[in-house]
Amino acid sequence: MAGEERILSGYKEQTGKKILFGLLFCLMLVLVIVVSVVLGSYSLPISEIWSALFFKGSDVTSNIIWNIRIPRILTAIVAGAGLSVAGAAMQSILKNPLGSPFTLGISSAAGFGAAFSIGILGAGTMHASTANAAIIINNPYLTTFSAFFWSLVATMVILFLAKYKGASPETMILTGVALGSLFTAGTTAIQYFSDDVRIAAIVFWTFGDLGRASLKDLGVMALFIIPAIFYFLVNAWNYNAMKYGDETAKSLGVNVDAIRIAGMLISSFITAVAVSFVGIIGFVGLVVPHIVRKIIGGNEMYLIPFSCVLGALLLLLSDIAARTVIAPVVLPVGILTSFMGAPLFIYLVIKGREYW
Amino acid sequence: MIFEIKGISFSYNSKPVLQELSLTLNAGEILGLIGPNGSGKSTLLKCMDNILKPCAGCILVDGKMLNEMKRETIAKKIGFVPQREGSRFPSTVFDAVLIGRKPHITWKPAEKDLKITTEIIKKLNISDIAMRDLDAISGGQRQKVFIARALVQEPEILLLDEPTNNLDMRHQLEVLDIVKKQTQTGVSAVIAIHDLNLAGRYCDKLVMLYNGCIFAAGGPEILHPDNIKPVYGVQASVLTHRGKQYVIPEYPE
Repeated sequence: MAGEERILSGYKEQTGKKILFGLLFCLMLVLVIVVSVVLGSYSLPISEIWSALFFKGSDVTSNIIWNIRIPRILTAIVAGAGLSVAGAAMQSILKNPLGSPFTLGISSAAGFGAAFSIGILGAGTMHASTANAAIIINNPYLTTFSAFFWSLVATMVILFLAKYKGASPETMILTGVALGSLFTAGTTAIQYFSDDVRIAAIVFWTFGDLGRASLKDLGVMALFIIPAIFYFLVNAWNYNAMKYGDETAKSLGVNVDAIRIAGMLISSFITAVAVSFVGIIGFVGLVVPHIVRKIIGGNEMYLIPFSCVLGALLLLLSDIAARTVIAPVVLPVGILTSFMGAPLFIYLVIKGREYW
Repeated sequence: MIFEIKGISFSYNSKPVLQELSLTLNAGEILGLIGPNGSGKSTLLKCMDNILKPCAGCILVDGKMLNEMKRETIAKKIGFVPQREGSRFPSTVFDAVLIGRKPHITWKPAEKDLKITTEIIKKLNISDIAMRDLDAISGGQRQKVFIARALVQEPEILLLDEPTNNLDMRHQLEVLDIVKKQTQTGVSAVIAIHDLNLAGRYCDKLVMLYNGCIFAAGGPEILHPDNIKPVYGVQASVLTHRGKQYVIPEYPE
């Protein structure tokens, strides 16, 4: 009996640690949100920010806080959480540690879809506003739909490979690379035949930038991403079972094929939504789930929610860096995540199996 | 629990693997599936767990059609230990066993799930490695972990696909002893196994498969040179030791 007590307490201690780390992530996220409200290319005294938060500040301060910084922060949280949870789900569903919207070519496909809608379907125009040049999309739903459609094409190729060719993780990533360059080539081709306004809009698209989403965009993003996160949470134990192999999962009562297709469709959809509102933000979806696995282990019950939190945290931190590194110039955060993510990706490949 | 297989056939891409196979398994029995590579042992096991669906015939569990049951219902009755298992992600031994409770878990494992898991881990003598990573344990220990996972499902039938492969002598015996002990509580087991001596020693019934058909069925007495020669293409001698039959392969025909 004593032995059983010991195993059980060992397990509970481990679970407690996981939750503790998760809470720590949440705490850090709150701190970073605060820092993010305070920091910006236009410096504001804390007291003014404080009053602006309660709608008592000057118009300028209120405008900066409520129309620029807070939408930006919320966008980072929603996009970061969405991309990370999509990556975590794809990795488990495909049993592929290198899976993510970016490495499987799905982000590029979505980016191509956005370019396709701007360049060929005529969904967007360039519009210079007072502070920053901003892209105004006349018809954001057309862009989202087009991004989703093309990301679906990439997803289908990956799913086909996974199912009928029993593709190894390496094959899948190679295919992802091929798909990525194919869609990038497509995007370039569209640019070549577009006028300069559209080229600007498309190029802007390929650098993910959090500043372009309005509060309304944010609402639409949240509307799709939050239920998707919930879906992944509900399926956490199915993914846990699938990790051990399809046959084991089936024998444990998991409807493997249906869950794999649904999961891939939903994660592609999240990617498409994120890409169509903020552009391509690479590597977040790949790296975040690995960091979480490294810190708290592979149980999906914790991996999924904490990937969301850490994804939000990481993207927000990257955005702070993007806004302050060479202030007053604001870098698109997509450039920064790629600069940080690519070396981390190479590190993962080199470390190989011992890491995951 | 009575498990009946009635005339099932299965083909992979129109290549027949199983042809009109029938057999019955009663509660508490251990059935050994023997036969050369490619004779259909694994396929038959997968059909028995509804992982593969036979193209003809039916499988009945206590008179109910297996293919009409929900996956989750099947998971509460039948535990399956596949041949090769790979996970590219870290997992502790405890988590790998706990996942056997999957049919009972929605949000998080209940106290009961944790209790059953710890009991089985203790019973299979893998307590010391419970918190280790699956990659950091030996092949024999890993096989025990996978059997433990099937046991926490609290199944009435255990299906094991070559559980003794790549194990040292001691682990082979330990693993089969675990299965034997489990059948004393009324659980029945089907084991696909290459080692004819272990098969003869542990199984109550043997079914010898050859090209997807049953070549011979019965007790350990079917381990006879006249059966082994046409099925395996090996001239063998059979000796008796302490009332059990042991096969000694002599030379290939």
